[in-house]
Amino acid sequence: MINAVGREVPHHPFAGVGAKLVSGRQASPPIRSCEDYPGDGNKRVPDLMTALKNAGLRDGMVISTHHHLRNGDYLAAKLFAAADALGVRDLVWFPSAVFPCHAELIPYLERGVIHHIEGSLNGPVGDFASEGGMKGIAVLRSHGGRYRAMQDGDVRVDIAVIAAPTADPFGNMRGTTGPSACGGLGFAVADAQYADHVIAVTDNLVRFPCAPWQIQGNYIDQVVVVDRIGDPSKILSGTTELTRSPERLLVAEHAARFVAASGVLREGWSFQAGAGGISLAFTLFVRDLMRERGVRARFVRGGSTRYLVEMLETGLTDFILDGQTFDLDGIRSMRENANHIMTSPFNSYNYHGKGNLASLLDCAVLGATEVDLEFNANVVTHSDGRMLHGIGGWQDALFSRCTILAVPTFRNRVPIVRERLTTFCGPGTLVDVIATERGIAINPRRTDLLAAVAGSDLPLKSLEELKAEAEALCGGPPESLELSGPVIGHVTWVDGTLLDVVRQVTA
Amino acid sequence: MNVRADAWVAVTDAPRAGFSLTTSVEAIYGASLRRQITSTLAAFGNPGVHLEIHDSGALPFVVEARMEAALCAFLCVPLPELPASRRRPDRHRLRRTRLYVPGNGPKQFANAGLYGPDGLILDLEDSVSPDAKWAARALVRRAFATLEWPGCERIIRINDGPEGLEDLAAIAPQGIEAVLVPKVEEPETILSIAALLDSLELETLLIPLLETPLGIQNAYAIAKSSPRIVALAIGLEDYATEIRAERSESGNETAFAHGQLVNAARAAQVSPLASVFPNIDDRDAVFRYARRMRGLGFDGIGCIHPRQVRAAHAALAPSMDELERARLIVEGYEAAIAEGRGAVSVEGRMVDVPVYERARHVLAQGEIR
Repeated sequence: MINAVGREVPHHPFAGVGAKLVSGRQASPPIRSCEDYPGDGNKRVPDLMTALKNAGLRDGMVISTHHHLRNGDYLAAKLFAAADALGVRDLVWFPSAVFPCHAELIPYLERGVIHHIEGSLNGPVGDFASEGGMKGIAVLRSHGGRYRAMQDGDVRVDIAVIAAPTADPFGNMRGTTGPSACGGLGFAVADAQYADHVIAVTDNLVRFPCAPWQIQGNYIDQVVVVDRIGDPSKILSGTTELTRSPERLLVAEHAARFVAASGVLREGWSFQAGAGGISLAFTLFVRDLMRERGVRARFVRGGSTRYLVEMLETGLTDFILDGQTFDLDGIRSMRENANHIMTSPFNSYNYHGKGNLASLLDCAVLGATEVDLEFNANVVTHSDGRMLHGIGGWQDALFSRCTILAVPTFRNRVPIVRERLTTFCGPGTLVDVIATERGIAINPRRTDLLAAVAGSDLPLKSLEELKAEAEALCGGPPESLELSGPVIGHVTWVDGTLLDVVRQVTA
Repeated sequence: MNVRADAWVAVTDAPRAGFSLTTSVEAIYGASLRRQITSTLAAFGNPGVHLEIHDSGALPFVVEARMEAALCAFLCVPLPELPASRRRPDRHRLRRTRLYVPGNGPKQFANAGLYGPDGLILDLEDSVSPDAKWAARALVRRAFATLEWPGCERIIRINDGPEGLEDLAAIAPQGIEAVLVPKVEEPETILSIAALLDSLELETLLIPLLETPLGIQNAYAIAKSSPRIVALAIGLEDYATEIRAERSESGNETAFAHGQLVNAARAAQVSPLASVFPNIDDRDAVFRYARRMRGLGFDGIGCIHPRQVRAAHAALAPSMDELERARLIVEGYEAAIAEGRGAVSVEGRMVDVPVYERARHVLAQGEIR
């Protein structure tokens, strides 16, 4: 069937933003009795294999993990090694994101221990799936979409395994202390609430109570202590140095000049920008503009880094609402500063909730791999059809009141503005501005923004002009990519409908 | 290959002539690349060689230059003729910033004009390793033939000695507006370059770069050696060593060179341009440096990173008083011309064409980009 954006999908076609009506009741986890748990609160079991056996692990179950430990995660590998040793097959892995370190899980995919992955795919695992290596179809969801899928009952997680940088024997846990400290544990909140069975795995067991806690032990069935849950040098991101790339700096500067000239940047505003090169540079440019103008933010969201922390500590923002914590300063700040708040995809992004933070944002600065002339965008595949990035919070943050995609017009001879997207990931009705190194395109739908910057010295251009300039350098319009391989992935919209499919590419 | 947006080309004698290609843009430009390679081989008369090409997203002109460099070196033939593109250079344009871009680093070429430097230098000299000189010449030639950098003066820095004359002969016809001539010590160097440009029938301007004690000593004679000269630039990387001074925080050891160069340039009525500034991360330091150079009499500085351009322009912007005086002169002069008055005076001072041009120059400098 063809969905509302003209893409062929197998079921649940996307009908437009806000078009899906909701009814019914949320999923509910099984009822448990405290009679069935140790009276002294000590839920420790000797090892992960015992915990999985106790949890009733069997073929075909859905197992979840989380990406707080980013590229330093040891837990997923330990988990599937244990499952393999138990002889279990055809598991569905439901991670909140996949990192390059998870390349070591490819043998389990090849041997059928893991049937398929429902989660953002990138790096070597993305390549493996793109080349048709996975038995089942990948389901790509945003962070908010992942929460919603569990809440609405689209996905029932049989066993959630949560990496806990610090935990007590009852299962209270937090991410801000311990040798594998990572900051907030927000991505695991949904799994704690909705999974049938929840295992906490820690390398830093403390006496009860682990206070303050980010996830309460009342959700936790068992606690396992291991040597190490992660590699601290890879848990902390290496990306939080300001880029020296002049193109990226110029893109970020244009985005920053746009928010300043349009009045989006004003006293009490809020914004979200991640920790990628352009987003980070944007944050620094607006920080300087805010200082110059004596303007403060009410809250900022992010991937928090030392730069956001510095803004909090110097009074440029009242709050950090933290979705993910990227460096030691972020972790320290979350631990010590009451105004540095851990959020979860429930309060940040959940589309089937009573509001969410993303739609309260005055501005979100995001990336994209491709944009079309209607401001629709792709974030998951490269122009050759390979899965390159997860959706992350990208779709969810499109709901901000001014969504800026900050992208170069071409990267290594790959033009970004395209006649047709390789993969449709986000509707242009939610994208307000495309900021590039060659100019800024404002969605004609946003007559208010167009009026706000009329007469400014911003380099305003149409998407058609930006496309033409990039193509003039790259050697004309790209050849059309006809992918006819089998479907290997579904791209889900925040409401659970399907925006597009991803097809197999040749190795 | 680790370098992005470039192409690596090797030529071999092969029993089967033709080419092999790997490219990161196979899906979207694979066919067009193959057409380009086939057509280039045809233009070389389909020599019986094999081209091995590994492309990491190079723009088409880069692929072309890499193929030309490899084929010409292998076949021992000169670079193929390109249609000449003549431009009339502007002697009086602003030269606050000149941005150096390494001549063998094509990834930076296409966007270099976006940062708003007054001049863009594709550099064949210090930033290019000796084994890459030939490849860089082919690349820079194609870059000038292909790219536009609106608002930027198109400049090359050639190598010194005979190699520089070869650089010039190959590239100058591609719309070069000014040539930065390195390590000039004697007027004769300029004369031979000017003679070559004369023979090419080009109006290209010259900016001698004085980097040695002898060059500094001869600054005035060099500045007066050709009407093509519009500026003298100073390069102080090795100067302190050569005068056997020690580099210091204060920079006192370069005071004579700075003063001599500014004086010689002003006496010869050309523009004195200061050296590059090595720190690229501290924009306040760039600002302070450019302000200090302006205070010494320089009109501009060299930039080695686009981030330096804005700070330098801000530092070199004239004061409000200067702008106001310049505005009065320009308005007074233009009004007088419009009314057909011959003699013009503004605030009791005679305004002639050079004074008017200088005032326009000041106004232009006041527009911070």
